[in-house]
Amino acid sequence: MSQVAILFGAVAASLSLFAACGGDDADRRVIQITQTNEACTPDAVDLTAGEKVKFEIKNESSKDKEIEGIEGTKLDELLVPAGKTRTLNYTAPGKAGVQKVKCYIPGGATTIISLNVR
Amino acid sequence: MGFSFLVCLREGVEMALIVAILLGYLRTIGQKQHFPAVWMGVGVAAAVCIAIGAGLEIASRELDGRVVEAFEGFTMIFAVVILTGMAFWMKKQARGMSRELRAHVDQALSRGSVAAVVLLAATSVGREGLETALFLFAGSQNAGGANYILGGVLGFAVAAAIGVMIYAGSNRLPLKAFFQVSGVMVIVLAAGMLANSPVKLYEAGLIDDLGSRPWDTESFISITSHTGKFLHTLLGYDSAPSMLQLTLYWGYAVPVLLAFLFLPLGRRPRRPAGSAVTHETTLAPGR
Repeated sequence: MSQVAILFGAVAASLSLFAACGGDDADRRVIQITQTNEACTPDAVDLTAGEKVKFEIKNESSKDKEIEGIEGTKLDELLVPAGKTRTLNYTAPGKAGVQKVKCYIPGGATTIISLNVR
Repeated sequence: MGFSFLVCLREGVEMALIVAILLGYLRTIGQKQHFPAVWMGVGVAAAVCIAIGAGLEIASRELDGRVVEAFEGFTMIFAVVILTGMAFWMKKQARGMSRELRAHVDQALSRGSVAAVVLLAATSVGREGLETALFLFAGSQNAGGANYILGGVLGFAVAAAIGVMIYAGSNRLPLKAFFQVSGVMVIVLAAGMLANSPVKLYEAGLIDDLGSRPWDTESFISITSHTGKFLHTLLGYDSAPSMLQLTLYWGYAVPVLLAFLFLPLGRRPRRPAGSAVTHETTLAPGR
């Protein structure tokens, strides 16, 4: 049995290593996004190139709302349950341009939020 | 990364075991000239499985918005069904697998056809490969990128090393325990995947409401933190799970785990009286 213990000890150790990789940095600018039944506000956000921010998304609607980067914007897909607040970290690209984020109720109201990177 | 590592390790060991049994048996009966046929079969299986995995990935990119979510949701459910079946199948087959494979090799050789050996290796390994492709695709909806691929490569690398040890004749490898423990892990991964499938179907607009969410542990472990994502892919963690998700998770995990651990599924191999063949030796190649 000792071999079993070693084998699975090794697996557990390597898994916890993966989990420990990377940490959240605390000093990000917080940008609040509010989701309602009709829309998401604001629909435009100004960022500087390479800026690291934290989106704090508050769902005040009666449905679970989805938020995700579209057209190549590197923002993870996230479902914010109705009445809940969730956070998402985002790093603006190094070049100026407009990045797009889709904020919507599946099959319902959709807002495209423009991230204007300067 | 942990998810793809576990999946590839488990499936990889199954494949390695099959290859080691085939090669070990050919070595024992002095038919080493057929080694290339086995490897050719493995190559064919790998090519087909990679093509199918790539096909799933391309299909999911070509489809648009809500159809993708539906496709992903149903793939997750399908993967759970297949994975559960395979965990039980492996438990049942482990005893007789070596004997069966050797009988198939004898059949193939008696037909005097190298192609039959290639086909045997390709189908035996390919079945495991298809399972891997399906599970990895379904799991990639929750995690992705370079780490996901790295985890899979590491899992296969460790599995290959274990395969070499099996071939070298190490009867002391605790394979039965490995399949038992990794089977439990697969069932837990599958429970998380099943619980997250309705979220995809909600995103696809096929489910109108996921139901009430009895608690919110977001401030304790955020679903978007590294720890939260890690626990999400391995255990299906959700900071505010809905009743539907909770019901699916526990309604699947508890009975399936109990059945896997305690139902006597092991098929007893018929043995000549007086022979004391242990489980480990039936798994070992070329005996």
